[in-house]
Amino acid sequence: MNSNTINELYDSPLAVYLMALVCGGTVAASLMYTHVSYLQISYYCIASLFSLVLVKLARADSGVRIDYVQSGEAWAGILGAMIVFFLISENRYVIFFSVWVSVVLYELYIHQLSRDRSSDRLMVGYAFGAMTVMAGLYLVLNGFGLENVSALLSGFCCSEHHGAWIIPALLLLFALLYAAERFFVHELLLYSQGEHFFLSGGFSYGKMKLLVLFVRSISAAVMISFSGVLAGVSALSIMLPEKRGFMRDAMTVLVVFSFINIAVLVMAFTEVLSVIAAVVVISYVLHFLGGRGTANG
Amino acid sequence: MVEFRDVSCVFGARKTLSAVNAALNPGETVAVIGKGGSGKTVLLNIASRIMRNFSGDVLIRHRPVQSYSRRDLYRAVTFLGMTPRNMEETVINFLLMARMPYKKLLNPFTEYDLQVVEENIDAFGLGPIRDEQLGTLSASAVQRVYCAFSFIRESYLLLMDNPTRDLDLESIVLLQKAMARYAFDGKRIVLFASNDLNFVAQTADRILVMEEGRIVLSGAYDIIEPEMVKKYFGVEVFISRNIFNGKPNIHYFPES
Repeated sequence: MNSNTINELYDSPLAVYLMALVCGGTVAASLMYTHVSYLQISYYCIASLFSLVLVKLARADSGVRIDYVQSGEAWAGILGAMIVFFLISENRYVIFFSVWVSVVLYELYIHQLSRDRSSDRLMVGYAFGAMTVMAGLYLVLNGFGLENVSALLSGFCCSEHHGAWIIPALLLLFALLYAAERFFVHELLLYSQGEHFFLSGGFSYGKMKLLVLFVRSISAAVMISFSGVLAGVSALSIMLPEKRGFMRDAMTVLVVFSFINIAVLVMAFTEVLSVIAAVVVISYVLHFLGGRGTANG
Repeated sequence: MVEFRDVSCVFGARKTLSAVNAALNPGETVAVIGKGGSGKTVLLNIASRIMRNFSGDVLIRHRPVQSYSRRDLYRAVTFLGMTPRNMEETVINFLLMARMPYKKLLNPFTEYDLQVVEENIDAFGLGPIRDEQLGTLSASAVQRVYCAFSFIRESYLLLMDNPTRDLDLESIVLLQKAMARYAFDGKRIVLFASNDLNFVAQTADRILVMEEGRIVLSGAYDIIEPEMVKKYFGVEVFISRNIFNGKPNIHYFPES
């Protein structure tokens, strides 16, 4: 089976229906065999939806084909969450804010440093990943509680029930962002080609850059808060050839949502941290396998 | 009309342009030639407003280039020489981007936009690769796409820096035809810099020779003489005439 056939199959409605069945199965299994509640499942669903926003932005934002784990945003956000959680406050909203601020600072830093090169982002991602692991180890060795570190790595907002109003609010935000992407798809494509191309549309590149930074940081913060690093499989969606369409987008969300549910399911039967480590490894492996897909002839 | 009036430019400690004066008329295809570092690309960069740090005046349709709004500037001037950042874009999507200066926000591309894109896809033979990603194409095909992009924009002034770079023979012929059509109706101007004297001789209506930031010679294709090439390029050549149009064919003797 050649790559074209695989892509056609991946894009077909049948594949999406099958994936929806798989996803439904993983949700049912999570509800039946773990202590995960409907509310928590909803949070994971929200994280999956926002992973789609990041996938879309990865295309618009200079074509950087790495997801939020590899690019270091997840690590920077979790590092910020650790600092606030263990030193300042356990309030979920305060932690969410700290995650968002960490991601914004990280984005500003990485844009200054990397000039949008994926390789630079990967290297900084490794560094921040190592720093987060070291910080986690330090906290655990000093008696801060393994379960809290695990919660921060797998979505701290899912560790307790709070404000169900967040779900409709975030769904509305997602709907707005998704609609905006559909309406402004050509403007986003123009933005992805760099400043001189974007200016030809008569737009301000600086303002657009800030807008993309804002949307990207909010989306990453939501994913980190609701799924930690568990949505790292979104790299799979990023590396596959992009074809616009609702089916394709649905597939991305279903793949990420299923993956999170499978991870949660496995966590119920084994060590939580080892599942998180496995998820991170899978994320990197997917990236390295996909990285060979494009070449300049 | 496009006018350069006493245009000078200093880059670091070096004067890259020195009191350049030139006027380009609608319907003209003008080539800029000269050794590397003679100021060809700087001239194009200034005309496209990529470089803003210069003295003198550059007028496009009697208006200073600095006075154009972003959108109006890109309608008036297109510069072939900038490479896109996202090479994962498909050829057709990339080419559509050339019409963005004319597209209204929230409106789709017009029938005319799509027609211009299709015409140039045909003109440059891009049909078979229209759905391919830019990053998967050969260097020649990518340059052909960039050329098509420039023509799709339909700007008043088309600037091209070394347009034949990476192009294979078939693509060069397609480019020549497209350039001839572009300015043919007398409404638009093509200004290109090139190191390929044969291409220049066959394509340009007028040739500007640059040396050390100054235009030192200007004229039609008949200024390409062995003495001129020797003087400004330091190369001895033999020049014959093209049997179809009488324009110069330059023959080099690397062994001499």
